[in-house]
Amino acid sequence: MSFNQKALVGAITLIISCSIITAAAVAGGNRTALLKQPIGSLIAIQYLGELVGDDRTSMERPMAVAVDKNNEYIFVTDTGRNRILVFNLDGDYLREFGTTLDYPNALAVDKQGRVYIGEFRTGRIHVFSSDGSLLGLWNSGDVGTPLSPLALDIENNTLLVANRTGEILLLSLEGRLIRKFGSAGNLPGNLAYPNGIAATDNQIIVSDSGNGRLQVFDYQGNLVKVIPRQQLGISAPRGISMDERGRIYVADTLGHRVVQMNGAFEPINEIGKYGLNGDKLSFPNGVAVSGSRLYITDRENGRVLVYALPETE
Amino acid sequence: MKRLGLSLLIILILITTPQWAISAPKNIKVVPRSGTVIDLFWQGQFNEAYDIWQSTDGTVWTNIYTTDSAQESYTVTEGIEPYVNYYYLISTKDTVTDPSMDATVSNATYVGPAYPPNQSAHYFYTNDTNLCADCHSTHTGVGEALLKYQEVDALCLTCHDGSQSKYNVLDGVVSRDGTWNNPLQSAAGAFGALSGHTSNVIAESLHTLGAFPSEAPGGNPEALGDGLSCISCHSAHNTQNYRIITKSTPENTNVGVIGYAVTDKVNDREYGNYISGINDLCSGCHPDYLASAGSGHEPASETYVTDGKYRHPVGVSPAVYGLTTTLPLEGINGDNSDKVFCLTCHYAHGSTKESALSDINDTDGETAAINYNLRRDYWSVCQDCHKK
Repeated sequence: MSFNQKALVGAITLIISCSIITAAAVAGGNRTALLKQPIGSLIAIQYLGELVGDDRTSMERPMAVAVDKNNEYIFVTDTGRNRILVFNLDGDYLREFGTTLDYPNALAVDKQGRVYIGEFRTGRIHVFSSDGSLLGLWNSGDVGTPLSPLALDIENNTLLVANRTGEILLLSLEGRLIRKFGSAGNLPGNLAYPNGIAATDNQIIVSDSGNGRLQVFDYQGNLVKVIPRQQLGISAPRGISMDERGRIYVADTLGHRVVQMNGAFEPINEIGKYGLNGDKLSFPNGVAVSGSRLYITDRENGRVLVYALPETE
Repeated sequence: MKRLGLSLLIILILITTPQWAISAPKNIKVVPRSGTVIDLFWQGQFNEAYDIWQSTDGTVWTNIYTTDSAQESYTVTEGIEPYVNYYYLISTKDTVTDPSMDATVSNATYVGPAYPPNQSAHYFYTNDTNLCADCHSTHTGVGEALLKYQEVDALCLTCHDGSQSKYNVLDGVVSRDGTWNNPLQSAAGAFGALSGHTSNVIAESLHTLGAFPSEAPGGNPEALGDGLSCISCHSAHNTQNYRIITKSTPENTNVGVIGYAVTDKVNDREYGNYISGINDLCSGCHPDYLASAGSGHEPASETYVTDGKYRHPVGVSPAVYGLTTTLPLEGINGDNSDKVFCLTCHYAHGSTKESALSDINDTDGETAAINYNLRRDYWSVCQDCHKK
């Protein structure tokens, strides 16, 4: 699909080959069974609905979202309310945890279902069980290097930390520093406020937010590729995630959209545009893909938008 | 006759053309490449050679290099410390001897601060005009000034919650090394937990975002307009001063602030070295508080508030009254001969200090809000000078 305006409109238009069942959630309405997977095959990205908070209160400035590896639970950092919200895939609110959190902004879940929460302002990483029991708490002293996590991901049994220092930290799942690379600056390989990170088994893609570009590294820290601002078309990329087909999703926070790219980092779609409700976005920050679902934290609207992804591009 | 006419024309041009037009470099850009390297770029004029000056406080300037006439860039590779603010001034060779005294001379161009290793979007959109389109839409804006969105403050706090800037305005801190370990205290104070945010800091008083200028003490009670916003005091664009202070307020369209934010890691703070113009900014919403010398003994002249009020003057030197202070003053002398100004007693953003009791003699609501943003607990700012 070529990346043009018509395609953009088409991408967010609901087109389903068979029948459509959508149950877009409406704030204040029934908050159970909000998200229903469409019947039939999608040929375009479809907005399914929103996650807005617990039974009583809405989210404040949610920054990050992640889904466990078994694709059972959706975890959201309700950053402005210092808590983690948990939903099932139907969009039902299940529980919250994290009474010790302080502006949680980053999130990752490992294969065992442990939830890693990063706080750049306090320089801490909390580890919780999926039911919210605190399993660990690490700071700079524990890790042995200044810790200020802007974004997290887990791959190869390694916790990858996009650090505010302009470094990428590779930690064991027990919090031991394996390796770090990168430094603050704007030369190739340097990073400035990396607010997004997504890894495969051999590559690490980093949103180099302050430099308006993506950079790809291997696990040894070697720079593999730079996708400059001119190619990316995003001034301040933030949350980043990949689907099973190798397509990449990057939050364009200032552009109020998420850009879908193919494996060659060529834009093929965009999701959302500025607005205050429905499938509109206002300063999206975090992105997660799990199975055929795309999750976006709609920061200023205080919610998470959920989309179904088509099987083909 | 023709030759005489041409000569007269040349003389006329030489007389009437401003000095800056034939000497000051244009389009200066300062781009931190890393924590220890800073690139400077400019467009030279008429093959001039230039002196490049560098300072961290606006007081002590060092001539770090003199260019040749064809040179239009320079890379600073020595003496740069990460997470320290640097300021630059480029002047026509041998025409400036002390930029702290001559910074506004017409044959020099002042550059905003550099924050190695970080670039600032406020200064570098000219490097990549695609950045313009992040905020503005030529034909489909939804906000004033062709803005793409209405939540201006949300844009500011996207970065200034600390996630994409070393300035965290909520906690009122500045990162000293790229982490939040032992951050520096900000010169502007803390907003605390603004709506939708959290903060470790409780601001006892603050400039509340969203409040209306008509609520400003000493201001125009009839004034209408948008609520107080980050852009009430700051510009998103480069205004050629240390904190991108706006050049236009509701009461003053010619604000010209000169100052410097000084990185002081020894004392765990970033403080302001204020030279001039802050009172012009503040009086944009608080015009009647711009009281002159003698206003404590004779009622100040008023524009919006009931006449007959005695007000503490600004623009006066403690030294004139035999006073000394540890509070900030405005001026170039660096001692008590500099002038009392609004920030002598108040923070710009917010204060964690205990607010003073409401003015019990207040009869018209002028100071009932107790949003004093004071630098010291209660009224101890008074004692710092007057020592009663």
